[in-house]
Amino acid sequence: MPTSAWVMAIAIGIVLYSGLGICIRIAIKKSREQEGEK
Amino acid sequence: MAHRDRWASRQAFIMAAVGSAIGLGNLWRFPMVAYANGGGAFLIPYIVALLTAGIPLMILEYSLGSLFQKSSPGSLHAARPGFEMIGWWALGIGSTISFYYAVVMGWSWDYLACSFGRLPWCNDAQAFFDNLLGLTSGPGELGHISWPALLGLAATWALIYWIIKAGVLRVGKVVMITVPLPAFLLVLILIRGLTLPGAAEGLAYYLTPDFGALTNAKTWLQAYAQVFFSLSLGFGILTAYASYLPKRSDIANNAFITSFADAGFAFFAGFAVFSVLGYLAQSQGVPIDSVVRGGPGLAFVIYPTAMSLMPLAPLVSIMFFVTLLTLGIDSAFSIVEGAVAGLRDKWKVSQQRAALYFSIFGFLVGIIFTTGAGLFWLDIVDRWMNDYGLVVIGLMECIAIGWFYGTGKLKKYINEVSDFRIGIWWDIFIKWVTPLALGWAIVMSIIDDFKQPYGDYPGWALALGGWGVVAAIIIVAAIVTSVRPFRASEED
Repeated sequence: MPTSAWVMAIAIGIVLYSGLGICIRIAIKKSREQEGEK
Repeated sequence: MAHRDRWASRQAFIMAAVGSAIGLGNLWRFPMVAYANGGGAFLIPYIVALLTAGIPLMILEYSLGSLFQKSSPGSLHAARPGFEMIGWWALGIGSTISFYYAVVMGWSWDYLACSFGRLPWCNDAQAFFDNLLGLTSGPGELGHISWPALLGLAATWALIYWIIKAGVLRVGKVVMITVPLPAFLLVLILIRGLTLPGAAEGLAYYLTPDFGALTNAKTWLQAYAQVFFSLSLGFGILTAYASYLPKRSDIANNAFITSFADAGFAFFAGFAVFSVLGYLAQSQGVPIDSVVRGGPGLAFVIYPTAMSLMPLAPLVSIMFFVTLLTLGIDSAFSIVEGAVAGLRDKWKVSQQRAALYFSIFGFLVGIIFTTGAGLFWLDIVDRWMNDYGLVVIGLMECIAIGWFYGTGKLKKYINEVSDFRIGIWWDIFIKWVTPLALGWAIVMSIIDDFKQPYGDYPGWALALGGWGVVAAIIIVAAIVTSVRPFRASEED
């Protein structure tokens, strides 16, 4: 595969999967906080 | 005051929403659209479209369901009584899509059975058209009903009914299997694909960026269209699902999680698809362009051909069609649940009865798509439902909420309950960017249809299966809206 294809794959992968990971992490953190308040 | 079903947990809701968004299109549409519109470079307009139209509209649909605790028509009615018809219109479009979506899933059942039994039409590209569909010469020649397709259709509706009849608690349990399973199987298919000769060439076709495509308006239009179709927007599903969340549940973060999961799956599916296409092209000694095909042609013609050439062909074939079925089933029952929720809210029928009537009706209507002309009608109806159905609904939702109900009121509620706050950007996207993008898509579709009739079908077929179906849905939506208005005393 050409280098440009690798770069695109890695860049897009980082954006999509890190975006998903950050959002899930926030959801878990907030859920724990809410459980703690109860 | 009627009791409303509730998701067992936030995780169950997110999985159901992700399952609804991730469907057959993620596997057979996204990789092809990306390939045809700049390869890896297409991912740039795709992410822009996701952030500027997909996520804002998903936040809007979730917030309506969460705030008003009703299905799409009920929530829109609660926002302003005049908006109710938009909700019924959306459910009509979604229902119509479910009628033929179930037929496509029926083909998957047939191919799954074929993978076990090694029936003769399994590995022959032309067999899909000749033996399974009994394809005729055009939409005017119905031919005969395909019994395998009819049996597959019956199996699909029986499964949808069984899942939906017990409400969202059962949906929540089913999606714990049907969402992770296809992802896991796709990983196995990808590993198989990557170990085949020619895979790297296939992936190079998928990912090599052509940045020149970014200057083409069509690329951006395709990106917005793909995001919109993929996220289950405009069906009324997301509003119905969110209405089963306890009030004051998160909205904004759930929308981001659903959207990123959907996009991530589509991106990943492209690797599984193109690695196998690369292998097929090399095996047959032809350029990759000649084996690239989207839609049912990929799933039921190209992929089976490629799998038949592989070592461990039956195993890969079983994995592939289980992937298709599990990808499709949660999208299919989510559409039905959206419609059933609307019927329940308005007519107070039981979940089981509404699911039964809908499933029987869906099966009967679907029979038309199991005839020899079924594929032609499916293609026509699908084009109109997508380009003139869902997109129009999305546009009307943006105008109704953005310009008449007011984004401010909804945003205040969203920010009170969400894991993180949304800013002025959401108002701008809902009032300006998303409607302009969707309006532009509608205008471009109309121009295309004037230039060249879709698919070279005869005018009467396009009038009947395209505009005729759209008009019928609008008329039914108007009648349903007017026959028995929602009453304040009926609100949960």
